[in-house]
Amino acid sequence: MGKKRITDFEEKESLLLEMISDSLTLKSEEIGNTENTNSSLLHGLTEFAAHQSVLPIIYHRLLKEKNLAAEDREYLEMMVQEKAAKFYQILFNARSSIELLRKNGVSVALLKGASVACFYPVPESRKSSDIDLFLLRSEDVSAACQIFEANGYRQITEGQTEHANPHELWGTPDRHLLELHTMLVKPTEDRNFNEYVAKRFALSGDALLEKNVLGFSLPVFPDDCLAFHLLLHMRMDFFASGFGLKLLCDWVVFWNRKVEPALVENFLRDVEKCGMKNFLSVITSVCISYLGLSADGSGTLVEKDGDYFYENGLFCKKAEENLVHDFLQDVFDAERHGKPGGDRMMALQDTGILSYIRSFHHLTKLYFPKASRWVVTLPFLYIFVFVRFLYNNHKIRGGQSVSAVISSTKKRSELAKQLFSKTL
Amino acid sequence: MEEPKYQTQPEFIFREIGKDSVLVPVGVTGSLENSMIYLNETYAFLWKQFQTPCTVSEVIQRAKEQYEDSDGIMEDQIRGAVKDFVKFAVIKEVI
Repeated sequence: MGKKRITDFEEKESLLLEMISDSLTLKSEEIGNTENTNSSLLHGLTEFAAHQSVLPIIYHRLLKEKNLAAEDREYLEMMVQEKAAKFYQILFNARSSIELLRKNGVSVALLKGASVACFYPVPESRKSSDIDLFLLRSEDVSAACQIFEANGYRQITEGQTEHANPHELWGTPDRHLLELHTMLVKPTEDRNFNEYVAKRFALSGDALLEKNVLGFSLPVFPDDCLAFHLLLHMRMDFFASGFGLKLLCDWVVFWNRKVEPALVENFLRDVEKCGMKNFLSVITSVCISYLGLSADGSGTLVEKDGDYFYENGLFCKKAEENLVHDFLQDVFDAERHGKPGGDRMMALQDTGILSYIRSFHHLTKLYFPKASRWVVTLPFLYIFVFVRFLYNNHKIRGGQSVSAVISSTKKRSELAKQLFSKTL
Repeated sequence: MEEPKYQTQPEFIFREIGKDSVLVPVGVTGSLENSMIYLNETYAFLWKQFQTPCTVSEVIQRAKEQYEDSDGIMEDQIRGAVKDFVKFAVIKEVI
């Protein structure tokens, strides 16, 4: 398939990339048995893949390794059954929650989860831990909350992470987590960007597709909006503390299908308006080079003259190799999915002091949307936010030094500068 | 009298997850709603046979060609499993 030789990553990272590529592109019966890898490496890889939330994806591929230890094999079998059961429980709850809201006149779309899982060779392998629903009209949020309360759903406010909207988190009657979204991504410092995204997803119910997801009929975005949302989600997570391989796997399976050229055009227009052309280029190049996204025309993309095209024209330029490598290393290092990286912090769109100040102010506005409108309160709010940062640094990041955290921010921000440009 | 033919119903989807064969009711209400039904080898075999309409005798014949039946219990097992499938509307008679 012309896969890149993976030499610049750790052995288990390289092996994981190969296994993911095989798993996303080959049928289980096409994968032959192999005994080239020792059991200790396989054990480390199993743990690493679990951290990256991709262990179910490589299940069949991993079982072909003859040297896989018996206890790892047993763990895999148990894990796959558990994940599949969870997958269907999430799907059942998503269906009943959507039916409940729709019956009461609230238009809603299913985000992430099953809407993307259906593209996978084994849909149950795409790990989901909660249900994400998007209200097409943000003014429906009160009605939706009342409907949930009247039907045994429990609003969750305790233990929410920073930036959470108290309307968003609910527990279903059988205790699954449901996130009710009125925004697709958290607001950024860039007002143009925020306005464009809000306008783009101000959809009517007619714009949604009723997709058959493993026999369940669920309302999802059409492909152009879905692709844009996937990219936005990756962008949002990148600027937080990074994202893992799972989101890249979504990208691979999405574009390994034939997507209608008109919808690709819409998507590319969104990318350009939001200053994400470089980001698209890097994500896509990573997926083609390492994760099995095809560029031979069997899916949407074809490589031509060193860049990537779709039926109607240029999809994206091929990203420079060093940048692709640095980005993928950042994905591996993402704290919540990969190696423990207690010093990871968010990335900023620039590396100057003004950027730090802008981000700090933006955080303050997110925590205190009403109070921050009053200029006289800002000094006090800044102090509160700074104290909260120190507290989170101690609690979440294990008390890493502030200078280590800032150093990590600078490094990631330098990467961000290469990935993103200003919106038009 | 001609033996009835049965076929699987679209309200159930069959999935092979790890070593397990599972039926997921996607379009049913009642006791099976929101559940997963784990099938043993006999039931999984039956599901696959009834993907196209066939009689119980035909299924028993195919099973005898594929599996050993030293205890002579295969036919009873299959007839019992078919009854369960019919009871829960996993398969229905095809007219």
